[in-house]
Amino acid sequence: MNLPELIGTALGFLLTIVVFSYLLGDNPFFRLAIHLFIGVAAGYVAIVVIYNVLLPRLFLPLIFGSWGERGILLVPLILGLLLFFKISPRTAWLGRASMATLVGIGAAVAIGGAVIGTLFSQMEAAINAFNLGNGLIMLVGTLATLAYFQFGVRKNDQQDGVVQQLSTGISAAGKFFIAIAFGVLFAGVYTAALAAFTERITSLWAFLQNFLPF
Amino acid sequence: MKQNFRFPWSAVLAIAVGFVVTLGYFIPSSAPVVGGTLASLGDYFLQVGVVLAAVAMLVGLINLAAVHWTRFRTAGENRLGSGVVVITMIATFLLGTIDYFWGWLEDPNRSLTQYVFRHIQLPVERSLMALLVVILTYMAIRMFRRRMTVYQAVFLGVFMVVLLGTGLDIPYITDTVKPWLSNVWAVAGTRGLLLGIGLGTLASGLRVLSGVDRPYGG
Repeated sequence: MNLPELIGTALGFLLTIVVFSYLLGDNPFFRLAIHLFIGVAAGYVAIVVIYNVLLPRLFLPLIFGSWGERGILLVPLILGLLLFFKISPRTAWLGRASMATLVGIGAAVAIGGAVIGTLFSQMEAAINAFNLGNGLIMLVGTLATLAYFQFGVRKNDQQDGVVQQLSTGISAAGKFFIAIAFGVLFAGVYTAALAAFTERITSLWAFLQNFLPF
Repeated sequence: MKQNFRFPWSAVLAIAVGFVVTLGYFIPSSAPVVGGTLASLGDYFLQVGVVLAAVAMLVGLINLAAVHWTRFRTAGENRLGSGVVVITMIATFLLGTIDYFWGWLEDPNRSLTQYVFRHIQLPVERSLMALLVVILTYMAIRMFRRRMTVYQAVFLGVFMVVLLGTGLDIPYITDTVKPWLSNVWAVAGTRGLLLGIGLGTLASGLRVLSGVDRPYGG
């Protein structure tokens, strides 16, 4: 192991110990490690934003592109510059047009993603999986889960007894399916966390072995 | 009484841009008359959206740095932590700049950014993930000790079966019960949740596109 790698591995070892020290209670070292993590993550995001998005998509075509390209890119350039006025509350109104454009595009992308990526694909999968065995369980579970959120909001006193009982029954079935889904998801998260725990312990031991005689 | 009416320019802009992008999603580019134009305009606005989202992220980072710098200068709560945030943020960015201009950004052996990522970011991230084991176990034990409802019992039962079925090779549990729970019962609940999220997203998006919700102000 060369010197930079040794220093890096030692730093990783130290940070792992500091983060694990949280098990004994919140302490200044743990908070310092978290602030270090936030700082590095923020710096990393800045690198990606500037060198992977803004330079290749905006600044380089503006400098080296054709006149047509430059004209097209003037709109995002101006809107982007106006967005910086959002930093100060006194000039924030200047960035409203940029925010409106961003929110409009974001809403459209969200609608497109929800309809094409989630609603259509999930409905198609539900239709394709349908049969009188497991397919029926899946259909009932999906409908009951949806109904749980619909009827679980508030009880309507004006509903008659039969409708009320039916709503309560479907809602209970939906809760049952949600409990199973969360149980499986929780097991998945727990397994992933366990794998990370094992990896950290292994890396701590591997680092210590560099200095142990056995 | 005379009222001061201001035309909602921002809302008009958001609605117009949003509608063009939405129509670009649902009207194929081969559609007669407007298809090609809508697709091109939709693509253009998506490119504008990517640039604006990146700038918005940058504005957020500048704000984060400014807040921590103020806390560091005014000796506010957790001064040292705020100083560490600002210094490491600037240092990481400078290392990335060196990487970019020296052409090392994609080279794992030379990239300074990847070195920082490998030896600071990854250990802290994985250690936090590992901490989750203890926290999740503690939460599960607390759940056991409280008065349990039928749904909590189902949740914990399924959790135990799936966990044991994943980690150990138990006859009938590993090969039959666990896949059946994961691939049928859990899929049903998850699909219901996903459809609910999809419908909620659709409703929120339509509220913005119809101008009912105006999170940008104006």
